[in-house]
Amino acid sequence: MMQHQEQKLKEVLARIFNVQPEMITDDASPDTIENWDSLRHMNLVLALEEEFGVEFTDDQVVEILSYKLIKIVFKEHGVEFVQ
Amino acid sequence: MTDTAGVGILGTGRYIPEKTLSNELIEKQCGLEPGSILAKTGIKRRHIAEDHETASSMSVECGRQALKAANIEPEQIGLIICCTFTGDYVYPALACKVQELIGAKNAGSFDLMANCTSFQVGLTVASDRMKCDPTIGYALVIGVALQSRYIDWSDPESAIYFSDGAGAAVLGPVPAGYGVLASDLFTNSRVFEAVRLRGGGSSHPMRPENISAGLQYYEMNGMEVWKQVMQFQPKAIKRVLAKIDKTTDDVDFFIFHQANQNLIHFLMGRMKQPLEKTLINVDEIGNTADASLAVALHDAVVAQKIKRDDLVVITGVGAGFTFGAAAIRWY
Repeated sequence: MMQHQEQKLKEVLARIFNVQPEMITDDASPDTIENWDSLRHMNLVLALEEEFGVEFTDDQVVEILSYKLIKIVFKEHGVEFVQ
Repeated sequence: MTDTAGVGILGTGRYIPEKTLSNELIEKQCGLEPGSILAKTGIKRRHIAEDHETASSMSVECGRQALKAANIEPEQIGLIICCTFTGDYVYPALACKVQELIGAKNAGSFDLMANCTSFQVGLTVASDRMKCDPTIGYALVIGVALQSRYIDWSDPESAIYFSDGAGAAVLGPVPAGYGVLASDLFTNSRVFEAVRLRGGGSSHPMRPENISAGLQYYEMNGMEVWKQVMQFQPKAIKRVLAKIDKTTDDVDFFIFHQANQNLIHFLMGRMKQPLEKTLINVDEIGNTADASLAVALHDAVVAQKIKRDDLVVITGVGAGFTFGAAAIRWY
């Protein structure tokens, strides 16, 4: 289940940023993915909320600016990943 | 008007210059990929004042429209607020010139600067003043931006967004329970420098060395803007609705500052509200800054998207950064 969640998260990011899922590594961020711009970040927020059934706080919306940070914030919403 | 009566919007107007600048031209001047402006902002074109058009001329045009729509004579206006940072002069206030040009001889007049939030703040100040002093009778609130003269058209951070324009609203007495029900304003000055126009300020007067340094142009950190909007605009809406014990689901119509079509889609999506409950005109006229909320409100009224008894939220975000929202029960 937790591995499935990880794969699902990578697929969402890959789809939004229009890159191969292999490019979504633990270090993924706007610094490593050129397409991670303001417009696509907004789309990412809405897609993550829909796909995982969570509702980010207004502050979290601008905190989730890397793959690692997304997982940390998801954990606060009860979404677990493989460590 | 009794002290229990409301203050509502009785008429609106707008003025947008006819001259346009195309995306193709801006993309060429800024070295951007063809089609990138539309994809990033949803903006198709921007409207630019001709040399003969001024902040005062645009204000007068939309102000007269609003007076006509409200069926109010200029002499009945007791207060004029021009919401702007691009008045004809640094001083006197633009509102004073507007008073003279429209013949509102009984009005007190001043300018208000809260950048793209300013029309919402102007509505709030006017309605508060009118509730404190019913002898004011009617107020004319104008949002106007003549910003094309402060844009470096080769700077993609600002050139892709901004337009000139003006919008106006006449406020007057309405029955209790209608009109402006609550307002909220807060500021996050930690990002004071993120969007700025330094030239002409007292720290950077219009002297040759400052002009040579390009300080007469807008400077904008676009990335910081969207972070501010994403984080704080929903808070502004929630704060004003909390004051009247309502939620976003109770709102019939939202008027947003028209900065970026994608941002408005995002905000409505986050609030889980259908796009039918808002109006978008930034695609057609660009970001008209101080005028934006007023023009969007006018367009919504003209399109009959707002009707009596609707709960309307007008919300803006502007440099500073200022965040504001007003909840209005439409009369």
